[in-house]
Amino acid sequence: MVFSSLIFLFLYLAVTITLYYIVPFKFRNLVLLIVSLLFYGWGEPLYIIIMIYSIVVAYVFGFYIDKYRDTDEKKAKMFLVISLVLNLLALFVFKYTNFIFDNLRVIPLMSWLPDTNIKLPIGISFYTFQIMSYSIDLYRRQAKRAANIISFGTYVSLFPQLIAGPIVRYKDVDDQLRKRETNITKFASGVQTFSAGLFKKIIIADSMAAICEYMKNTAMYETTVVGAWMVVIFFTFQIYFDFSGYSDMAIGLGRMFGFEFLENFNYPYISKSITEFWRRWHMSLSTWFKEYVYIPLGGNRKGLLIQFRNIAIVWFITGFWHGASWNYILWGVYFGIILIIEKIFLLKFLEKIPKVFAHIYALFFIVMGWWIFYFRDLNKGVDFLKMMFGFSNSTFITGGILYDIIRFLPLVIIAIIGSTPFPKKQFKMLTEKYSVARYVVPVGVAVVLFVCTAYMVNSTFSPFLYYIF
Amino acid sequence: MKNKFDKILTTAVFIIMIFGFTILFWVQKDNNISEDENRVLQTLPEFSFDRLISGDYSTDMNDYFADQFPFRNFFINAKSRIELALLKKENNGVVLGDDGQLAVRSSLNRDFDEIEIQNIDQFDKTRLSILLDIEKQFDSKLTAAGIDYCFVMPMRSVDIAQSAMPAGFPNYRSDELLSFVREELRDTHFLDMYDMFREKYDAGEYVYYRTDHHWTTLGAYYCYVEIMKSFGMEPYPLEAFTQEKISDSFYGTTWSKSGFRFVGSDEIYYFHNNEISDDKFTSIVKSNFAEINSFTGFYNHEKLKEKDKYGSFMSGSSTHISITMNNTEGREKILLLKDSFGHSVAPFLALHFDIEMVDLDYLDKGIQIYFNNYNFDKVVVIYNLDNVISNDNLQRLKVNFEK
Repeated sequence: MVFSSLIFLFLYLAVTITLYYIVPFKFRNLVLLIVSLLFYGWGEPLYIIIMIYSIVVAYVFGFYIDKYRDTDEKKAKMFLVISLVLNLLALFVFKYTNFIFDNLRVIPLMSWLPDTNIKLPIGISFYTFQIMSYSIDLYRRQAKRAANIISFGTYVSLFPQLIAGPIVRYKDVDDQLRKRETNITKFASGVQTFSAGLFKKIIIADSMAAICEYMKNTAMYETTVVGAWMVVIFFTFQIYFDFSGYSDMAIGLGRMFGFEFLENFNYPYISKSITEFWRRWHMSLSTWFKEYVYIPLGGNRKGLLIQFRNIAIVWFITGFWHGASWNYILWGVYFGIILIIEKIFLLKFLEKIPKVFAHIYALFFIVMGWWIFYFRDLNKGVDFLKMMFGFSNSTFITGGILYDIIRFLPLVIIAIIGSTPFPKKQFKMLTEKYSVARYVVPVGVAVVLFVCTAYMVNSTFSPFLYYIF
Repeated sequence: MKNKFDKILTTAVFIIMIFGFTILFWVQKDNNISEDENRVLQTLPEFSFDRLISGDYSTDMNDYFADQFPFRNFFINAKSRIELALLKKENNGVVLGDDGQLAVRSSLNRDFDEIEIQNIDQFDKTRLSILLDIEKQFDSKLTAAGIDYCFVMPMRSVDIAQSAMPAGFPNYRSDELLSFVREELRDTHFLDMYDMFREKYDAGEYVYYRTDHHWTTLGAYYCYVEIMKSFGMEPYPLEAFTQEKISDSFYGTTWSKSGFRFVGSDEIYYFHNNEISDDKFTSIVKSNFAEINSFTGFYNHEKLKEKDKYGSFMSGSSTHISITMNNTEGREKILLLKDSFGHSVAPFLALHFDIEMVDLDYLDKGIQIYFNNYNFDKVVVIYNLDNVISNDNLQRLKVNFEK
């Protein structure tokens, strides 16, 4: 099930809120666990087994990690490794088998390998990472053992962040799983964040997705420089509003049930370098990699060369995590290289030049990154690149492309403004000045729900990007 | 308490909307069909464990929600208004032109999980060239066999209604298509009516519907005139017909797709010949050359009660219909290979010929079999541009004449 569907809003959520608030606190985790399993099982009835397998494995081995961590370091470590391996195994088998077999089959001796056609279980990349954080946090004594399997199961399967993050570290919600407060202020704040996310997803991201697809088709008949750039730029908007909208909805929903998750996006497109971009984009993933991969590898404490190696490893995995396809690996490596170059000298240089150039620099490489990300077929991607830089017989612009640009301009302007902290700042200033401005929120929520419902009733075009990871 | 009032209000708004629609959804009665969209709506799917596992149940359930949502039409109209307010000038791939003229520009195909958008104001030259080559071979084979032939490709709304399109609209794309077609089909029996139709449209003649992709009966009449002229025959003049307005509430397929519920309806006319009345004709719907159904005249009045009123012409699409004039012998026989644009032309041609009307889209056994079963004096192909650029059915014009 996805948040941006009628059945979620007008059946699932109503029932869930009712159940959650009529039972006493000690049953609330159980309620969340049951409804979360239903949420997952709705689209993936069979794959629910894999998730339960992962939960049980981590919970059982977590028990032993906890048992031995103070007495027998070696045993604790062994159980940690087994737990991680068994969890990663599920991720590997279900996410990467197709890709690995497809590539190995190219080798003559390996051509007997079957053409496996395993469908990716939704959200497996997200919940596997969450589960791993539990085992590691336990081992590092940064978290207490989960009270019971219901509480742990709730943590893993919690429907707000289950299928697309944010990736919540166990230690961040350990206390909340045991005790959390719900009140009207928190609920209202959750509603506000959820509505903002819904707007981002349905009104901006889905429109951008449709435009992107439309412009890509247009480019097949009219190869123009501007048209090609538009595809990549619209995708840049699409992926940000899609993903950050979904994160907002997750955070908002969590808050309605008393959870506080960390922010996942912090206006990534206003960055002045790629280093900054990755501090603002999908922060829960970057944090995860930093804490569980980069720092254990030695981070930046063992000299520049080791640091570069570590960056390379982290970014290769980051790319591969995003999808079992060469373009994602390339995408990760691309950012790894830029980050290393920035570390060596570029960052210092960027600080000296006028801000506007630093912004242009960062945006250019962000957009080029999405170009790699967008084209899973590398040949198609290269064709498109030629088009973008005028190497493929392309004209600069046609009347048709211009007509469409003008048509989409208002939406683009909304998207540009929405990518900056400007609206939030204005709202804050306004509420501080006039207390009546607070009533913008309930009115805004009503309008957003109404408008988004209209779009959901009408539209069947609502692809969800991070579903595939 | 006072300073929390906005929080309470926010929560209340949310809870009332979420719960309100949830309750309303389950309380209200389901509709089986959508008149406005001309399709069967999803009703409450039956639950079974197998269907849940296969994912069919959840897919149907999602459709059920979208189809049966309270105030569905109101929301659809609201969405189209918002799109216009955002200055997109289109909704669901349909352009809103002057005076409520609608034209399809792109269409969305949903094939299980895959959703893709097709641009229909653009075309693939290589593909089109291959298809038109097949048509040209058909042309020369018929000509060699001494059969009169003509080929008609009716325009799409986007081609004809250029003057009604928003400022800056890429009309050059349909011009390119038309000139490409003209170039490819030079010196063949292709009837080029494009300029004529555009002139008539611009002069305010009601030749195409605004809310539907078809031509009107008047448009069909002009097509009939051109066909007759190409055969060197005399068509009936316009004055020879009495025009009967049989509906002023026709909302066509484009209207349904567009979501522009505020756009007004079209009118449908039947043209009755003053000398020969419609009831002198019999239309026989055939399958494997055997009659399965028949009706007097050319129209199915029952279909006027439905939403797709254009379907009353020749009772909508069937694979094969024979149209004959009662108690006459020796009339020339014509093969009309067509899509639905042909349905409103057939009543005019029937005044002169016995017609075997065969649908190119529904054709199941190839067209050769029709040539084997009948001796045709004339052949007409009416296949509209949208079909020509979006499917491969022109390939079905492959025949052999070995007598």
